[in-house]
Amino acid sequence: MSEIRDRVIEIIAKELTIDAARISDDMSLVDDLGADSVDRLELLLQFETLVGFPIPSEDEESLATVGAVVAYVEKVMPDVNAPGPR
Amino acid sequence: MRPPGTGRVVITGIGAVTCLGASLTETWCGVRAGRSGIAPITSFDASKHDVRFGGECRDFDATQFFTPKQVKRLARGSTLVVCAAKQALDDAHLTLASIDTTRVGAVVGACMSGTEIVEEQLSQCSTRGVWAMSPFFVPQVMTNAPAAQLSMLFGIRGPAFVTASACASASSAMGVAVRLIRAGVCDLVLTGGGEAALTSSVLAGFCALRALSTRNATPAAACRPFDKTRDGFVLSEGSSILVFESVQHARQRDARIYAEVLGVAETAEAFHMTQPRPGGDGLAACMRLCLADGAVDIGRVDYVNAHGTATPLNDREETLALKQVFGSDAKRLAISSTKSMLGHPLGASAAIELALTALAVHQQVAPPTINYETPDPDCDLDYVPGQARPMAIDVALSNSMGFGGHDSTIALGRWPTP
Repeated sequence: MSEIRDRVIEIIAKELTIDAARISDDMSLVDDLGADSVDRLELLLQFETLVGFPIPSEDEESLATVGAVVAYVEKVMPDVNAPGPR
Repeated sequence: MRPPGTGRVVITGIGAVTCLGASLTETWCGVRAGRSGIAPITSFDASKHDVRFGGECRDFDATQFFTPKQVKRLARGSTLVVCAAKQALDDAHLTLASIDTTRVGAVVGACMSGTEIVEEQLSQCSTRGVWAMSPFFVPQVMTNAPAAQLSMLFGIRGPAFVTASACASASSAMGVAVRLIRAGVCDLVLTGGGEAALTSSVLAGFCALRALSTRNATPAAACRPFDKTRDGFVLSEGSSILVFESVQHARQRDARIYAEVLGVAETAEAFHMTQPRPGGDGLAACMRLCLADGAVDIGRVDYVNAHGTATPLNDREETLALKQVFGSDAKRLAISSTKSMLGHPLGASAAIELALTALAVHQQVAPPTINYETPDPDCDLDYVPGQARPMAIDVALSNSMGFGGHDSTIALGRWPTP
C-alpha cells in the first residue's frame, strides 16, 4: 500500500464521513461512496491541497474512482514527503 | 372581528433549544425556577474580549440529531432550528407524510446566520489563499439556509423563507406565518427563529457598540432588565420553532392547543439605527396595531413578555410605551423579561419568548424577571421580580424590537376562550 493511497483514502473518508476500511480502489466517488456535486468540489479542494497545486479542469473528469485519484496523485506528486499544503 | 372558526390561528406544537437546556421542558422548568443559563464562554477563546460570558446551548449535541455528514454541511444556527422543529412536530403529534405538504410552510427568523463559518473560512483563506474557500461556504451561510433545511429534511413544500429584522426577526416570521394561514395559503406553518451568533466577531461588534453587560465576575447576575443598575444585554444563542395551525386543521386532527394567536403587528420607527424613538412611540404604535388586529380590549391583557434587553435605553422606552398604550392599566400588568435568564439570542429571541408566552398562557403562570433588585424610577411597573407567579392570564403580549427600528408585537389568548 502506498503512502499516497493512504492519504487519498484518509481524505475521502474524512470528507464523506465514512469508514476508511470500507473504501476500495474500484469504488466510484459518486455512485459507490455517495459524493454529490458539492462533495466532489470539496474533495477536489483537498486533493489540490495534497498535491500542492490547482488541478487543471481538464483532469477533473478523470478523477471518478478512488483508484483514479490515487494514480493521478502518484503521477503528479511522486515524492509524497516533498510539498505540503500551498 | 373574524367570524369564529375562520382565519383563526392556534399554536399546537413547540420545540426549543436554549442555554437553559436542549428542550422546551428543560427551558420552561429553568424559567419557572428563575434559573440563569448565562455562564463564561467556552466555545471559543474570549479571553481578549471585554465581555467573556454569554448564553451558550451547552447541552445541545448536534450529532444526536444529525449524521456526521449533515453536521458538516450545516451552520450551527441551522442545526438549532432543525432540532427545535423536530421537537415541535413531535410535540404536535404531526407526521407531515400524511398531509398535503404544499400547504405547509416554513418561515423562520434569523439575522446573523453562519458567522462561525464566515470566521473559520476567512481565517483559512487569509493563511492559505482564497482558493482554500470551502464549496460548502455559500450553502451554509446563506440567510435562507435554516428554512431551506426545514424544507429538505421534513419534506415541506409550501412557502419556505427567512425573515430578517434584527432582534425582531422571529416575530416578523411568525407574523407572516399567521397571515399565510389567515389567507388560506397554508394549513400550518413551522415558524419561529434560530440564531447561533455567539461568536468572536459578533461579540466584538456588540462590545464595540457598548451594548453588552460587562459583569464578567458575575455572569448569572449580569442581565438585569428594568433594574436601576442594568448595564447592557447578554449575548446568547438558541432556537424555538412553533407549529402555527389553522383552527379547523387543528380541530380536525384533535390537536392539543397551547394558545390562540389573536393579533400580530410589525412597524418600523423611521428614526435611528440603534436607538428607539423617544417616549416609546414606536413600540406603542405597534402594540396598538396588534391589539386592533386581534380585536383585544386592553382590559383583557394580563401579562406582557417584554423585549426587556437590560440596556439602559430599551427598558425605559419599553416602560414608556406600555404606559402610553395601557394608561392606568399598565400598573395592573405583570411584565417580565425572560432575557434575564436566557440572554439575547438576537433573531431567535422573539421565538423563544413567544414559546414561553404560550406556556405562560397555557399554564397560567407569569415567568419572572431575575436579577431585579434595585428599582429604577424610570421603570416603575410590575416586572414579576425573582419568582414565577401563578395568575389568571386571559391575553398575553410578546414585544420585540430590533436594531434599525423594527418593532413587533404578538398577542396570544387563552384556549379555550373563557
